[in-house]
Amino acid sequence: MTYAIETKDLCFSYEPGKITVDHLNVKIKQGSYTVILGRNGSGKSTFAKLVLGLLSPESGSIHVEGIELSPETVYEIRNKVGIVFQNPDNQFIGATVRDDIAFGLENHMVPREKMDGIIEEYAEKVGMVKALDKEPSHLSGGQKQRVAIAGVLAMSPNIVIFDEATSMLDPKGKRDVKEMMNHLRKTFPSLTVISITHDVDVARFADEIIVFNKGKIYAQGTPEEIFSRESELVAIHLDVPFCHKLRSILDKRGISLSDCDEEEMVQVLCR
Amino acid sequence: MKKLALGRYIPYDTIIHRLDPRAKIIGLGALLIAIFLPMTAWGYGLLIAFTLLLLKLTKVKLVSVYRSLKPMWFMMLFLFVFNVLLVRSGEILFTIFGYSVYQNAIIQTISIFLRLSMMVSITTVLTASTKPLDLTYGLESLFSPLKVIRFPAHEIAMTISIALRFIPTLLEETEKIMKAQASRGVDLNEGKLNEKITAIVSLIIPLFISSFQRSEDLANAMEARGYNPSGKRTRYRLLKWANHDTGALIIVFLIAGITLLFGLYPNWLNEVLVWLV
Amino acid sequence: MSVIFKAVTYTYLPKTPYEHQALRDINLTLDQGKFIAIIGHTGSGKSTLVQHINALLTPSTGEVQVDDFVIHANDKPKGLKKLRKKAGMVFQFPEYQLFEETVYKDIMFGPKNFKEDTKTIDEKIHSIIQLVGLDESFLERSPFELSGGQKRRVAIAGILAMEPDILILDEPTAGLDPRGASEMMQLFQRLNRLGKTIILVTHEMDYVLQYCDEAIVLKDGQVAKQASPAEVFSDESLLQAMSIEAPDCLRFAKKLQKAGLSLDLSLIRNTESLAEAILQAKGVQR
Repeated sequence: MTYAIETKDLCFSYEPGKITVDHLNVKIKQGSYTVILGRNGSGKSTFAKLVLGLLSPESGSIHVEGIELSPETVYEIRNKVGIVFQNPDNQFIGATVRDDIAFGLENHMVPREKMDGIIEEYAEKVGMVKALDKEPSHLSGGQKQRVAIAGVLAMSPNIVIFDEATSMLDPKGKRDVKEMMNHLRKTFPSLTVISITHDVDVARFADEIIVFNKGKIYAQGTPEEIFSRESELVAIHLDVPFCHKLRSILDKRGISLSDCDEEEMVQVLCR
Repeated sequence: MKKLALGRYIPYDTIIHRLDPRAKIIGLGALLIAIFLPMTAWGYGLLIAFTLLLLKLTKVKLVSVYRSLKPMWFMMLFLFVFNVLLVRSGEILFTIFGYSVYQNAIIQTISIFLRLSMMVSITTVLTASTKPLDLTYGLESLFSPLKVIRFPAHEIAMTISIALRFIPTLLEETEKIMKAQASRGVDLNEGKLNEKITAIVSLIIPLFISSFQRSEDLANAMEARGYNPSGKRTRYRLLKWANHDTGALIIVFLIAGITLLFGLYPNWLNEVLVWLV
Repeated sequence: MSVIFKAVTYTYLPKTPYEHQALRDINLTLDQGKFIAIIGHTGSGKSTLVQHINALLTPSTGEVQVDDFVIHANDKPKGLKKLRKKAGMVFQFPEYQLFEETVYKDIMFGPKNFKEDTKTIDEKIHSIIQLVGLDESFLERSPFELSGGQKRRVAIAGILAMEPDILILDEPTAGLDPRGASEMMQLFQRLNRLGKTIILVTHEMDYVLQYCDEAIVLKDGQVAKQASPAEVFSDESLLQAMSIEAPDCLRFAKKLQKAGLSLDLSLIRNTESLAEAILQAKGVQR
């Protein structure tokens, strides 16, 4: 089977002696929604940069949709993988929203006549049509991230990575971007979406969660499987969503709740 | 800062605003050359009239030009004294305390003042009517033939355009850091020199560090979006040369040319008129 | 060391096309020793409000009283510098303000600016560095080789070294992972128990409920409510108007209440206490 992303024994260090990515063997299925969960410093953002060829691994291999990442294939791979980074300002290149979305189109040699149509189409998809001529200094963090998403989607990638894309946003911005991510999955069902985060609320809706710790995969499974291991997650500086936490405490005190569905829990508890 | 016309773009919609930035840059170049070559009174008259016309068309207020010149008044005074002392040709205009002030001293000072004023005015016309980004694209286009000698016109233009986009962001960041350090007792108004230096260092180093981080993030973002500086790219923003741009350049070259003619052959107009009649 | 706002307004860039009134008629008392949260949507005036407490801003009209200091409208910052020692402010992402060669020097920067006796501070540095969860081995290291979380602790230590009575914190847990965030909040709780007034500007409602004595809700530059977190989160219309989501534990508790379980909402501060309340309500023996 061809995976969207597959790494074999991937290794990388920023400094000699301090390994950041340690013999990583990741397999992410095409069309899935995968959340990579890990504390700060666990190697998850480094992983994203390695996949995009922004960093060179010390050893091991990376395959994106079956193509091995190498200096010859890096541009081809960057065509397939779009990434939205954490800092809304530091990825906004154009002088206006329009120019920023156009930047990627220019790089991909899209003919000038087609650009306006594409820009308007994707600005519409992220709800930023009215702001097309605005400058970034007049946009909120959430709006800038939406523009980044439009810019990425306009390239028609097969894989989109959100690298801590909501961690610098206020609650409204976070909501906007999370909604956009859900909307994406409905509109483009064959798109592989990867969300890198330490926010467990985002992880609840994943098809699969990969937990990183110290540059290795600590655990991999469905949200239900992962979040039932509360004490382990806490030990590696993570947390579990509210529902799971409550269920785990009540379980220890004799009240068993099978499902982590709030409505069901209410029913059971109020009998 | 807000009242200084020189350097600021003012978004009106005038004929000058609508001209291609390349036409404006070349026009500026031609006029600057004309301003600084030998001139006669006729030449001055023509150029000053043209400059005033340009200012009017671009809706730049004379007051703002005057304010831009204010910082130079001290230099002008110095120049005046200098000329009065050194230039001793022409008729004697008047005598103060036994010292004779010659005509040419005054004329020289006035002529330098006029040339500087025109230079500032015409440059203001350019910057007031052209967005910094368009100016960058204009320069990039004009310099692109230099690609044959490996002059990186595109890369420089990209760098400048990104820097321009970040000016408001950097200003905000500076304010934040100033407040953060003020909260730690930094006071730029008080203190001995070495304390002030530490205060400034406490502002500059964080700005530098964050700028380095920003450049790295930007480079990653650009590469991830397929940017290849030496590769081929299409362009979204295109400069379109129109007839009115050619027309404007012709006018400018004519004016510059006539002024030059006055400078080189002061009597050419008389001779032409005589020949016609 | 209470902070009192009397009829305070603040207008940014008055008499320009960008004029904006950020604070309208604020009358507020922030009691000494409390752990107070300031909440409200972006643009509601939270940062503007707290910057009056250490005189980074002075009111356009009205006056602000901090202990013995009275700041009148449009006062010049001279003489207000002492206030910045009493009310220490930690901005969002404070790791960006580090600049010295060593952690030690950076922490000392604040006290030095206030002309403190460096010997006294030197003695305290050891306890300060431990208070923020680092150890003395960090003191001689360069701040720039530390991780983001460690840098943030150094920045906070730098403010604590000035020994402020009031600590103002703007989103101190932004970007931290769950463990980092909870350790940070516990630090502030410790400081509060040591007597410091803590003013927390935040969007994290879970923390407001768990740690704070009082919550001040700002809306469009005015105080919409000043009450205990439990009271604020039970004001449904306010929460809706401000698009604020109550913490999960309270939200769920209300669902249980509606479905018939009798719970005392005022006892619920986090998931653990919610679980306790549920167990009590169901008569489960301890």
